[in-house]
Amino acid sequence: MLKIALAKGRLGEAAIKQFQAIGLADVVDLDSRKLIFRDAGMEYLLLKPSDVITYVQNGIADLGVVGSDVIQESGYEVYELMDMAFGKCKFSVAAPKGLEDVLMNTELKVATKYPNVTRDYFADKDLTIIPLMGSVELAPVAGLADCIVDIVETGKTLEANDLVVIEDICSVSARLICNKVSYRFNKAKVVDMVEALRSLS
Amino acid sequence: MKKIDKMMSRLKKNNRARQNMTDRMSRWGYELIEPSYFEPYDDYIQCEGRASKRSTIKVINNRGGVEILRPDVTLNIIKQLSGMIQDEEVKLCYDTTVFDSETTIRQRRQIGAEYLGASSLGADIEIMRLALSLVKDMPNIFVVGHTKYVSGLLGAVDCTEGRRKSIELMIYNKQINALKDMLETCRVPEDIQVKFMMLIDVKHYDLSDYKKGYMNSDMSMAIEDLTHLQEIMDETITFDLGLISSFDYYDGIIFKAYGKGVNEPILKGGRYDSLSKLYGKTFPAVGFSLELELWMRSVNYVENCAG
Repeated sequence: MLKIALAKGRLGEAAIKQFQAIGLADVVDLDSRKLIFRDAGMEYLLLKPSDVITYVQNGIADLGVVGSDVIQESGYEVYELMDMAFGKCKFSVAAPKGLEDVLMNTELKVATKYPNVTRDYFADKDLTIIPLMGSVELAPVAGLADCIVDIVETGKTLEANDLVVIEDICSVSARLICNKVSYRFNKAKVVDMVEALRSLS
Repeated sequence: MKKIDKMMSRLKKNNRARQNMTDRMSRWGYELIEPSYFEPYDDYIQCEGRASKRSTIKVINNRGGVEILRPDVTLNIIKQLSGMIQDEEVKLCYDTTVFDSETTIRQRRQIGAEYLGASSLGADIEIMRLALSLVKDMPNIFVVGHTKYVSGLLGAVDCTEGRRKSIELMIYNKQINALKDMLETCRVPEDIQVKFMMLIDVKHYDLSDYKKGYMNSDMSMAIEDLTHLQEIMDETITFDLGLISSFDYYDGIIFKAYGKGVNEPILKGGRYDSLSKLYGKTFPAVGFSLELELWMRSVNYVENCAG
């Protein structure tokens, strides 16, 4: 039996649509409060987006669909089998309007929900990372940080808070991930699934 | 069951497994060796791609020199034998602990074998068969690759050593998108890009598929070795040309065995002819090591699932 970890919310909905298009996940009912669904040969777990990778890395789930932002931040080793081509956005550095040259400073205070991604990107800077759980855009406006590292989809939240993107780090999208050992044991099934998903696009 | 009974039954099981494994290796002509606990730090840092510097346990000797507690066994054995081996074949095995300190200080029991002084494919096959025999009683996947295929392909890319390492890591994690981007950045020609993507692509490939398109001498050598292996070995093994080892000293056939319920390879091995160069005279070598705790965990997992 293959276990698939899915994120609750928009990412999960888009993933379920794709799985349903290849004849899977019909049993999943997002309106119910259930977190686990089973049908012949498959089990689906509904999790908080950032926990999907934890379940897959530890082998509790064989496969999962998760944003590449979460993979990058976690540093976990899983196979990234395919780009699901939804949940597209990017990792960017943003600063208040008028302070776009902030990266010229040798010392830098960066507020972020992604400390590991930030540390990797600014490896050669004297960096102070201010980890936050949310409303990151407020940090430079309120004087807590010089700039932020965050995922940017439309840029509207940045704009509403007088911030501008000063550098793009990389693009982000949903990925189908697989536990490395479970990939070895279930290769035939996994290959068939990936090929079916690929044929959708 | 009482706590002490549980402990005793676990101990008994553990000891029986160790005994069976070392007995088997001894029957195959492998002599048990006790490697040294310590090695000079200077030797260790000369050989890249072993356990990370940070995770080794350092000990100061009474002359103020730094030594480390062995993080693996192979280099230890090579060092003990260097200067002695001329053109003899030597078969050794071990059942011993190695040390590291990721978050806390850990000791792990490794059981393994080394076949020194033989460069033939026959030696590779013997070592793989011995390795297979240690995992045969549990459901396992035995994956075989060859370092020369990836290194040959990487040799065809004009880029910095740092980028080469990144590409290897992307193959290791099957990061299709990141790899595509990186190959574009390095302006890798299309026919070579195709070969890279084949290493991580999720498809069913035959060994012969890897011969198509761009090839160089290292890559051909790898395919030739693996094709011979496939002809000779009737055991259940799978091939993965994208198999990467974190140990840089492997140079030729590499293999890993995976078990159920365990999240990392239970057994790893391969050919490492160039390692002895560190101590003077070069001699060929092939070997493997099995992580006893992981092996045990997988055996217990399978038993629990069945019962």
